[in-house]
Amino acid sequence: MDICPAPGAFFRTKEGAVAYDKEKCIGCKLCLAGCPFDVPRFDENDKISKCTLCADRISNGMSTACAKGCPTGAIKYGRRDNLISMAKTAEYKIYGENDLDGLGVMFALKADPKEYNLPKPTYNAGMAVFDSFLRPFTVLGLGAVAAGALFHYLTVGPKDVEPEDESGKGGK
Amino acid sequence: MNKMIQKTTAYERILHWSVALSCIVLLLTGLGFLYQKELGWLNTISGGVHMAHSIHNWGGIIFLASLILALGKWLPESLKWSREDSEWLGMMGGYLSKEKHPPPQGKINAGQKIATLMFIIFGLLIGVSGVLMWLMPAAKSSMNLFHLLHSISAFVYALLVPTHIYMATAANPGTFRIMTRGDVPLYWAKKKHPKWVKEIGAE
Repeated sequence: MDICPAPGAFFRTKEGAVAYDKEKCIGCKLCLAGCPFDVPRFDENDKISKCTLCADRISNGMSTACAKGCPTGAIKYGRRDNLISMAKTAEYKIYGENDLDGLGVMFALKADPKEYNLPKPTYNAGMAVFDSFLRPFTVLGLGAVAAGALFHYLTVGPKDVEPEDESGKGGK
Repeated sequence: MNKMIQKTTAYERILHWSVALSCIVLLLTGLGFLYQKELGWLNTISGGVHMAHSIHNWGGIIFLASLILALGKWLPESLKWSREDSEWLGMMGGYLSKEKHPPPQGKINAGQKIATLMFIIFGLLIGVSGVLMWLMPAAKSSMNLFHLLHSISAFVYALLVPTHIYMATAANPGTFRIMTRGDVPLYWAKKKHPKWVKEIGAE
């Protein structure tokens, strides 16, 4: 989430959901580059779109629409520790309990997560991290070269070409 | 009056202004929306962050198109390399001292050749990666790569552009005229590009 360059476009609500503000999104798609789960998608205006855990519903004490609407109770919404203990008493394997400091969305599974083709939750964003490390150097480099040019001008100075040079030793 | 000789055509000068202006606009808008906290005031110039984004995207198309047209004109000259070019490079073109004079150079000198090649290579990289970032809907691993290539090329450009502007204006009085009017005094050309003067037989 730290990768987003637009202040306030991508944030965590106090309930813990990862939400976004389309008005502030600049469509750079860096969040896609940084996401371990390949979650963000972009609409026709190149603005981010993703599940926000119904941020506006849960902030008003309601459950998420998917959990409410699910006829078999396969999707459950609740306090994180309650959900985990429920899954543990039913002897399920939990995907996302401790991965990446605990995910906002977890799966209770009967077999190993690998069998469900779930991605191994790691930040595989080496390139994106290097990228954000490199970017400030663009501004620094620009300033350094400008300063260097001024320094060169004031010390070595410009190379003037005077018409007299033609007859003198300069040129050919 | 000094005798003048033509160094660039109007077509080349228009292309150069097109890449130069679009490049500066791209730099300002690009920095503006990547550093909204630190350099957010840059977006005020372009009319807000979303306008900066649109200007950046469309300006990129103008930049890339002009660059492709321009490289047809400038690539062949910058690929010529001779012994004098290596010597020029060895003494950094004589720019580190007032006394040193580099060996005779062709239409463009060794430094200009390297600069042109870098501008072309990283200009194509930044342009193509930018277009792909804009148009690719969602493909995570390649998106990483495009962002990285875009940043690397932006870094190279941030070093090249001010160097190029300084060398072609304050550091070498008389050079900027090549970009505005396209002609240079014969005495100037004889001093800076003697091999080229010989080649076109202007002596």
